[in-house]
Parts: sequence; structure tokens; C-alpha cells
Amino acid sequence: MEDSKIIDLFFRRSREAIPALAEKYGPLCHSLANGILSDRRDAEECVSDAYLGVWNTVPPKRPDPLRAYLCKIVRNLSITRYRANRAAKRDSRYALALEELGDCVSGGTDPAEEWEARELAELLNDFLGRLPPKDRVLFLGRYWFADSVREAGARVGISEKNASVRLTRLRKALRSYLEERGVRV
Amino acid sequence: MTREELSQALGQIDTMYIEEVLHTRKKRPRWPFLAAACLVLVCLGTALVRAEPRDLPAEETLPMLSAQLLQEGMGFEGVMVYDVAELSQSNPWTPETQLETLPVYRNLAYTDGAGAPAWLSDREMLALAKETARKMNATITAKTWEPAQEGDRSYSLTAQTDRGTIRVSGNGWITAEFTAPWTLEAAQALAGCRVDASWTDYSFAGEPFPHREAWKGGEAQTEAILRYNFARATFAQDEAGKVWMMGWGDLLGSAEKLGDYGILSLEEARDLLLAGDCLTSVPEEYGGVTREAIGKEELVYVTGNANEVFQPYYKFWVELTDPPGEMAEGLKTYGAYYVPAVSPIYLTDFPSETTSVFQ
Repeated sequence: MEDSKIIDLFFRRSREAIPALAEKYGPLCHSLANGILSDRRDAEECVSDAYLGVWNTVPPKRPDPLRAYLCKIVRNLSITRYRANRAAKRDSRYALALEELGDCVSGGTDPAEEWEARELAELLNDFLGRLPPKDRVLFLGRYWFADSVREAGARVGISEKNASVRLTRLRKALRSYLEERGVRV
Repeated sequence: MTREELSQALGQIDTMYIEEVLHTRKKRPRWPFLAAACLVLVCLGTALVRAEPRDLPAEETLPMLSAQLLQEGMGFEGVMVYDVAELSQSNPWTPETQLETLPVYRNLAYTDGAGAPAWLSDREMLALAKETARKMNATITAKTWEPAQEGDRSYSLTAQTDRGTIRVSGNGWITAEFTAPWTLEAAQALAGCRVDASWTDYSFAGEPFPHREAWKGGEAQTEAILRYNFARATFAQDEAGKVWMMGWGDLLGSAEKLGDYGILSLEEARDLLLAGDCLTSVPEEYGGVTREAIGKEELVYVTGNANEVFQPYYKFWVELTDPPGEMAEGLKTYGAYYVPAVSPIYLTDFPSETTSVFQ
């Protein structure tokens, strides 16, 4: 079903809306949530909550593109769940990706240098915009979608080893970029 | 900075980059380059506004505020109607309303930009669920808290009953899905919201989509404005007009008043809008703002839980000259444009060139 028709179902408050959304994007959402949580049951619950999130925001929103909109909700919910679970679980792909991201920051918190997520997101948008598309997809595949290094590499047609080396360079580049703009990493 | 903060910021990056990656699943490895070229053409709902910063003294007793307006999700906020009068006419604020100040609240249930609400204790949520079950003449058979970790404050409680499912969120918002649909009157009584605030918009094909909503009502001017925005109910009806799901609550129950802030007049807000100082998710290419294109003006509080502060905004519905999609003849698309109602002397970032970003 086309996205516009799915959105129409949400606007009509139709019982068919969520099943239609799940049928089209369920596998993608489960893959994303499972990559972050490594727990099928938790992932299923996050995906269900994400469908409810779409129900609660459409209308008045008319998300375009719907797929990225849904993915963003799934990722946010999965990370929230991950935080709640992390004392017990440290074996998800997201945990590994998060550890790698530690290369870009020190991990310390300086109250005088607190950066809002939104300000950081603007810097990240700028950083990503400067990257060649291939590097951008590789970086986000790993750190947004919690792909394994092999999967992230496959997205851009390079080997796991090659992807690992390139990701290391990208993390260093991000750290330098942030430092140059006064972000105490 | 921690890696979690960096990861959280990553969650807010521009949607076009996410779409770019999503396209690679099907068409790799060359697609990303083509996708990038195409997707830069797509504006995804962020409009930056520019203005000269103001240098006015603020009242020292009131906390300074951010003008940031966070709507959960992306896409642009717009409606398709034949006549702008089909939008809700129930707002107790009208363009004739004269106000010097309005209260601003801290959202105690705020957690982060993801919007998960955590304020009520497990016991308070259970009490709300039990009270709702009692009103439904239902018996709770199972309970689930989210997240289920001991020691963490829960975001929600889901209670299964013999007459449907009740979900209580950490900000006091309740949803109920009924096993057997209710009449609208009974559902309104359950929510304690009887003043109709319904409105209608349409699909691209011109099919009407009624939105059945209600609010609690109030006598005094400010009380009525607050209740209209915070003490609301929304109903999902089936083909027979029966309610099969509903949501309701009073979000001021999980808010703390920061103070009464001086506000702009409608005329001052309109001038800012026409000067380009506004917050919107409408892509620029869908049309600009002109005085003639303004179809409706209202004052609203933005109450989504992704906001740390609940503050009033002037909301302008502006007819778009070049909206997306092919619409049925006679349909018009109106986009939402916001101007903070709180005087700019209390705002740290408005007008400025860095405000106006939706999540």
C-alpha cells in the first residue's frame, strides 16, 4: 500500500491503519529495534509502541517520508528501552556501536560545557553533509541503525575489514570536527 | 560529553540522511550517490528564521525560556479543508481576547526529546487505572509497567480488564480501548470532557476525516484557555459512531507553574510572522506567508511531552500556494506557523537565526 494511503487510514482513525503500517514496515522496524536491543520481545514491544506513537501523532502530522519518520520513533523508543535494560545487557550491536562512538568523546561531563542534543544534531548534520555519500551511509548504518560492521560495509559495497578501517577514520574526523567548533569532547 | 549524549543527538539528525541509508538496503552499492543527489532536493520540514537579536531587559524574577517548539516526529503540520472554518471553532481564545499575561509551566514528566513521560509514581498510575476501571465497571486482570526495571520511574502502566485495555502514562494521560464500543456520550462522561472541539479535514480525494475531540470547559478566561489546551479528550469512532478507543487527561497535573509571563498581542505576533520570525515545519517551497494567506489565527499551548516547558504560542494557519500532492477540486492546504506568545524579553533564542526547528 502506498504511504499516502496508509496515512489516510490514520487520518480516518481506521482500525486498518496500524496493520497496514506493520505489514509494510514491520520487518524494517523489527530489524532496527532488534539491532539496538538484541532482544526480540523488547524489540516487538518497542515496535508496537512506535505504531502507537504514529497513531498519536498522525494526524495532525503528515509525515513525509513515512518510513524515516517511523524509523526515528522506533530508534528513540529502542534506545530509551536500551537505557532501562543496560544494567542487565551489554551484548547488543547498539552497545558495541556505542562503545565505538566513545572514540569521539571523552565521556566526561562538564556542566559549563553542556551541549543540547539539538545543537549537537545541527553540528552532526553539518558534519554529515560534508562527507561523501558512501562514508555517510557507512557511518549512519553503523551508528544510527546499529548495523554490524559487515552489514554497514555491505550497504556501500566494501568488505568488513575495509569498513572497520573507514569507520575508525570517520570517528576521528568527527572528534576533530567537534573540537574545532568548541565542543569539549 | 558522553557517548550516550552523542548517540541521542544522532537521533535528531536530518531525515534525508536516514532516507539515504534506507535506500541502500535495496539498491547497493551505487544507489547512495544517486540518492544523495535526489534527496537534497527534498525539504524535510525545517525552516530557519532570521532576525536581528533584541537587547531588552528581562524581568529578573521569571526564568528565561527557550522558544523551541518540539513536535514529536517529522513531516509538516498541515490540514486539507474546503473551508478553514471547518477547523475547530471551540478555542475559548479568540482574536478579540485581550490578555496581558499567561502562565507558563515546567513539564515535570519531561525526560528527553523522545517524549517518554515519567512523573507519576507506580502507585499513582495504579490508582488512576483503578479509578478508570471503576468508572468502566471493569475488573483489572493483569498489569504491566514500562519500563519494568525496579528503581526506574515508569513511563506507563497497562491494565488489562474484562471490558478493555487501560493505559496510564507517566504524565497522567489515559487511553482506553474498549472490548465493546461505547456511545460518544458515555465516553465523554468517562473523560469528564463534554465541550465539543471536533473538526474535520479531508483526504487528497476529498473524503472527510472527522476528528472527534472535547475539552473540560471553564468559566474564567484564563482557566478556560488552560483547560482547552491541557484538559482534553480525543475519541476514535467506528462506522456506527461508537467509540472504540479514547484518550484523555489533564496534563497540568504533571506540570509546575513557572510564573505569569507578559505576552505579545496578536498584532505584534502577526508582524513577527510576516517578517519571517516564526517556527514552522512547512517546507519553504510549499508557499510563503502573506497577510492575505492567513486563514485562521489562534492561541495554543504546545503540550507534547518532548517539551520541557509548556508555553503559549500564536498559531497561524496559512494557505499554501504550492502544496504537495494532487487534491480534489476546491480543497486547500493550510500549514501551521507558530510565533511564541511570551514576550521576546523572556526568550533566550527568539527571534534568532537558530530557532524554529521541529524534531
